[in-house]
Amino acid sequence: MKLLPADFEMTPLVSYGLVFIFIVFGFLGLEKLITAETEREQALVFAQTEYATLQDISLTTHWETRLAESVLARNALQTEIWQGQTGGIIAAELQQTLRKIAADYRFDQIQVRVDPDTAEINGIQVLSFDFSGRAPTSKSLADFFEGLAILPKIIVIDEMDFAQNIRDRQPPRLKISGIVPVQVGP
Amino acid sequence: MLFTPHLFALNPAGQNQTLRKPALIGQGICVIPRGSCAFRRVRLAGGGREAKAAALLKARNEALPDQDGALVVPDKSGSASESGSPPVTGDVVMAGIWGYPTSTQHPGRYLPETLAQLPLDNGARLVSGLSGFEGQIWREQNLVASRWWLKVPQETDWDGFIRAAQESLGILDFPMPAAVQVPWRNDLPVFDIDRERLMHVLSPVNIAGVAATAFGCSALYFGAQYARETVVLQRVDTQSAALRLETEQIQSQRRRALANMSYIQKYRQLGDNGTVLAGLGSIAEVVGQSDLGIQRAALRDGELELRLKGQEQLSVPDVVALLEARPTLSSVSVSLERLDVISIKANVASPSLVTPPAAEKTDPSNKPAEERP
Repeated sequence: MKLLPADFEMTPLVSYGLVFIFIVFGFLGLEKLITAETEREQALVFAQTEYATLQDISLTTHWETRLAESVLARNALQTEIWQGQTGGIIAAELQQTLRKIAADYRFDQIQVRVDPDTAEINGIQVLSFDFSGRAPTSKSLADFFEGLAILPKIIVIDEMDFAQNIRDRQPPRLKISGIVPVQVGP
Repeated sequence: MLFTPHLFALNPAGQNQTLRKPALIGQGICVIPRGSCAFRRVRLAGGGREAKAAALLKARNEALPDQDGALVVPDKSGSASESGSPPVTGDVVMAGIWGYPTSTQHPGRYLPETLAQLPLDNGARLVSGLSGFEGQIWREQNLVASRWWLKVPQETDWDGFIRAAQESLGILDFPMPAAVQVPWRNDLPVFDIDRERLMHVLSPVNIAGVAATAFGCSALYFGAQYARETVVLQRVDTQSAALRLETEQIQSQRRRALANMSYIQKYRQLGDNGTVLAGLGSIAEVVGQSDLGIQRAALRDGELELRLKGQEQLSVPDVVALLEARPTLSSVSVSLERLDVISIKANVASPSLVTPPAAEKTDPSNKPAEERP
């Protein structure tokens, strides 16, 4: 059967409907194209940045030295981290260390509490501790902190309180709380 | 006026002849001399849009070959019809139908000369036009009869015009007036498009065409961008791959060095043994010369607070300036509680974050170099 032009005639409503559908599909297609183009542009920017970095790297010769330095620094840091088979062992070692420093500077009424359960701060395993003791003089305070500072292991003090009560005949009391980074395991 | 339409006529040579000076953005209206126009009165059944469209279609069908433009001007609502009774909605409404030639030079708006001139409320007049003379009879600002002469008509011509008009308008008594020149109207619509033309402009085919053009241009632009970026990306990827092979060892060293430095930095940010001591030491260096004893020392949220007791009165601004200069202290505030008691508050930073890392407990030569971006 031969189709005549009249067979293709349509009402205005149908025409506008078809145009609307055409526009909708056009928009969808265009949006897809724009999205693809934007992604490609971002990929290009990323690739160009990477290329620039590679070019930069190819011109440098110091990374070997830096690696060696960083390895040494990391190894040095490793020795500053408290290490032990269990949290309890490390807690005991920390308690002993704090008591020894305090005793060295003639602290009295020494109390040390170390939580043997490790916590995690920014991906670092830590043990928290509290210390209190009476310092014979205010100079002992500085001595005590000097003793902590020269320790080969890291001790981070979060809070400290040292007060000389004029009504209290006893020596001033020092209270500190802090954390130590630990590495539990063999 | 900014939007006042620009009235012009086309002379026989096809050149524009300005009738009224153009405004800055005014729509151009081509005024057709009365001699080139055809005018007649018709009845619009019902006076609706359909009736107007039908009259327009009929006028086009019956128009002279050169008069391809047509305009239907229904009488103003409430005005008297030829029979003397006012038009009523749904009733018969009279209208003037104009036929005029259009030019390919001007695809826009056309207006017969008579309609571009100021109308008359009621009465008859003889108007000297662009070419020739036009007799007009007006009723309540509706042109109800018009006749054109090339030269000034004789009395007999005028009488003939009036007699012809009487057939539809009733008894008229208008002696022949002197020919006058009528000024152009100032109240022409700034923009005008008739429904038929608008429907044509907004036809599905036109909309589809415009949309297709817009989509096509956009697709072409973004497609070209996409193609260009793809080519450049491939080139950069190839170059990067080659360079990556060349720098494989350096990259490995760089990655490991950065990882080590990041690991160290993470621990340094945790804090340092010497933080409190550094804070106390910095303060002691500044106020050390005085005979001061610590009455109270506290550290909370990185803020070190000291209460010192001594004999000598200290200059507070000097102490603040000296303490602020210490790298481990910031936001220093000093106050004299009594003449012999001084209170100091300062934020204290870890020495490892102030001085380069690993400088504290490792050999300075092991210090990692500054990371490059």
